[in-house]
Amino acid sequence: MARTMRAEASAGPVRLGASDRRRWGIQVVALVVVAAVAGLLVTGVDRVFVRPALVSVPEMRGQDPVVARATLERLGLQVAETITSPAGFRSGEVASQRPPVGAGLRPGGVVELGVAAQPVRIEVRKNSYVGRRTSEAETTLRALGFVVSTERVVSEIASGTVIDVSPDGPVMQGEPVRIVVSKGVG
Amino acid sequence: MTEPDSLASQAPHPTPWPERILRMLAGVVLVAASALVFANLEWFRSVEAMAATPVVGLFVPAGAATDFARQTVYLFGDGASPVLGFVVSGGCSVGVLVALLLLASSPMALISRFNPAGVLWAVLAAVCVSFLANVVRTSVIAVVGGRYGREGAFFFVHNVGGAVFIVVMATLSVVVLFKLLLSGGRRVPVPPRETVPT
Repeated sequence: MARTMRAEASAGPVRLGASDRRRWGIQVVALVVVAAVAGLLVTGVDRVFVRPALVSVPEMRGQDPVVARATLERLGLQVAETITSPAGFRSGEVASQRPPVGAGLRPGGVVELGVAAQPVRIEVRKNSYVGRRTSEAETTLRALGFVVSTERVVSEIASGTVIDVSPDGPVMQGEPVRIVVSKGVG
Repeated sequence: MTEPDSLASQAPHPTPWPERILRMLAGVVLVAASALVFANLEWFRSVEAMAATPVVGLFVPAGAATDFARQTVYLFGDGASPVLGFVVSGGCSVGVLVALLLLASSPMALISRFNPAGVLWAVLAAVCVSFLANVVRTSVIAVVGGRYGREGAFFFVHNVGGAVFIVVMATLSVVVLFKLLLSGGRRVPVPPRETVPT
């Protein structure tokens, strides 16, 4: 027993040192782990992106451009104005918008407003359109600023071909132009 | 010294009231933290995803980003769909484990002979071990799954490797907790052992 006591006494200081080292070791490891977690959290905050709330684009067509601009800017959107054909709208009104009504835009997104131009009289030549495909004729006439209506009739001419356009002659932009289209024999 | 005398000398002295208040405070803090984590497990998962993002970003060509509200890490440039991202789901989180660890540690601050500040430090370190382990696991799963496909590789690292790893690391966090408590958190120093001659 006395030998045991001597052995413990002689090993005492050495054991204490090792124990202290272990104690400090675990503290240092804990400190490193806590610091690593803190570092990851701080770094991770920079990589969080916030999904922005989208703004729904309201109906602007038919409105005065000044009012439309104010409305859109109040919603946090930007406005770009272009001049477009006055088809179906009075001169100076907003005649078109992009993106369309109900589309979602991020705050700061741009809405392009097409303001109806002062209408002018344009010569519509029936012969320029007869025999062309319907979609082609409609697109051309709409681009010129006319309100296009299409009527389909039974005809021996190939389906989808323009048969007649009226009026034939000078037409004011914004006024209706009627296209008659063949729907075939059946 | 007889055995009853020895026990009497080691009997704890009455705790002064400031220390009692500190103990109570530490216990309340731990219980409150546990309740907070339990009540906000989704938020905790978001924090885990956020912490994993910088690590994931190191291994994908065009970096990574987190959608905090959806607990999702998006990987860019590794060929995986950036629309899908990597979601830290309920099963991938150590939120419940951390909440339980906090709750289980609160009595130690209240009734044990450990220094309350030491208990808080030990719990913080243990929570961080679990958290860091899960961040490592999440990152490995995201990177391996993104790079080698979401079928075979993902299944292995998620269901096999990841599960074993997290069990080991959760155990390690408890070991760290007790190691820290026993290494520096004791209030009353234990007297040196004496050998009684027979």
